[in-house]
Amino acid sequence: MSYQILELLTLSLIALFFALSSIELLRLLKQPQFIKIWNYDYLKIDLEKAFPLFKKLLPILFSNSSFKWVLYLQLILAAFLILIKSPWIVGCLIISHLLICIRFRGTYNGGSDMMAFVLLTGALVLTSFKNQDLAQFGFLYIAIHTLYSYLKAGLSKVVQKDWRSGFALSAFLSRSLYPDIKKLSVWLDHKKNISLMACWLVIIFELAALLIVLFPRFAIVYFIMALVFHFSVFLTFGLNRFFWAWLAAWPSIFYSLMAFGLTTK
Amino acid sequence: MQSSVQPQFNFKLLLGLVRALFPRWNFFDFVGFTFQVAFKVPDQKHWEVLSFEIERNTFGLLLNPYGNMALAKFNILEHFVEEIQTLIAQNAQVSSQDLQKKVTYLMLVEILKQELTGYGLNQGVFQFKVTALKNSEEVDLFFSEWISLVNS
Repeated sequence: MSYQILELLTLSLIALFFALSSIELLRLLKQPQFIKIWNYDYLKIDLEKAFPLFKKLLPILFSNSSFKWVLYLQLILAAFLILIKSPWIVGCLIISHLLICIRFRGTYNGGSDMMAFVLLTGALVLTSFKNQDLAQFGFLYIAIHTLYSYLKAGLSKVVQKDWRSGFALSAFLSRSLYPDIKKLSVWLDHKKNISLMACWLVIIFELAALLIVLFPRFAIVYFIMALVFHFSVFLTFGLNRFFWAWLAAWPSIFYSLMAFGLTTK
Repeated sequence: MQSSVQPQFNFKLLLGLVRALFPRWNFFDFVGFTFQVAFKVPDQKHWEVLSFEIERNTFGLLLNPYGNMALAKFNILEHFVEEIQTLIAQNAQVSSQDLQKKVTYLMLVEILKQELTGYGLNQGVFQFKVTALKNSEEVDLFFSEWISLVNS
C-alpha cells in the first residue's frame, strides 16, 4: 500500500475515533445525572489548584456549558481531518482532547486517551511536513509506541505470579461491569487448566509483538490476532474506545515495516 | 475590603490532570484490591452495595456511552480510595472532614444521591462506606457521616 493511502487511512481512523468519542459524550450530556457528577462547581476545586495562573480562564474552558461546545468543536475538527490534511486541525484536536481529559480529572477512558495523544502527535508530524522523508517519522512514532504498548503490557504481566499461575484473568473478569462476564469468571475459577492456558495466551500474544520487528511477514497475522484481542477486551470490559484507538495505529505499523527496510511488500 | 485567597499551586495535581500526555501501557497487570461502595438509610440495618453493572448495547463497539460512563464512575471510586491512601500515608487517622473537601468525595456523594433518587428517595439522610476486597478479604476503608439527600 502506498504512503498516501496509509496516511489517509490513519487520519480517517483518528477522525473516526474522535467523532465517536464526541458523539458518546454529547449523548451523555443530555443525561442530567452526568452533568451533576462531573459538575464544574466540583471540578474547579482541583482546577484552581492545578492552574492558578489561569483562574479566570477556567470557567470559560471547563464550565458545564462550554463542555458541550468543546465536544461540538471536536466533532467538526474530526470531520475536517478527513477532508483537509492540516497540522492546525490536528493541533486543535490535541487541545480539545486535552481539555476533555482534564475535565475528567486526567483521562475519561484510561489507555485509549493516552493512545489518542500518541496518534495525534504522529498525525501532527505527518501533516506538518510536505517532505515525505520527514513526515514519515509520524508513522514511525505511532508504530513504535503501539508495538511497545503490546510488549510492555506483556512484560508487566509475565513478571506477575497471578498471571503465570492462571489466576489473574478470572480475577480481572470478576471485576467486569457486565454480569455475564462475572459468571464467566466464576466458571473459569473451576476450570484451572483453561484459565492457565488463557492467561498464557494473553501473555504470549502481547510479548509476540517483538516478533513483528524480527519477522515483518508475521505482521498481518499479528494484526488479525490484535483485532480479535481488542474485540475480546471490548466484549469483556466494554472498552470500545481501545478498539478504535489501536486500530487507528495499525496503518503506521504496516508503513514503518515497509519504509524502514523490514518489509512484507 | 475584599480579600481574594489564591489557591495553593499543586504540581502533583497538575501532573495528574495532564497524565494522558505521558502514556503508560501496564494494563491489567497486578491483581490488587478492588473496591466497592455501599450505602444505607437510617431505618436500614444492612449496607446495600452500589452496583456499577451495565447492560450490553448492540452497537456498543461503535458507541458505548453508558458503558464508558459506568467505567468513569468506578474510576471516581478508585481515585477516592487513592485520596484515602494519601491521607493515611500522611497521618495515621483519616477523618471524614479531611475527605469532605476532596473533589472525588463530592462526586462520589453525587453518584450515591443519583442512585438513591432512583430508589424514590428524595429527602432524608444516608451514609456510605468504602470497602477494599481481594479474594475473601474485606477491609472497610472509610465510613461517611450521615449526608443529607437535599443539596444545601
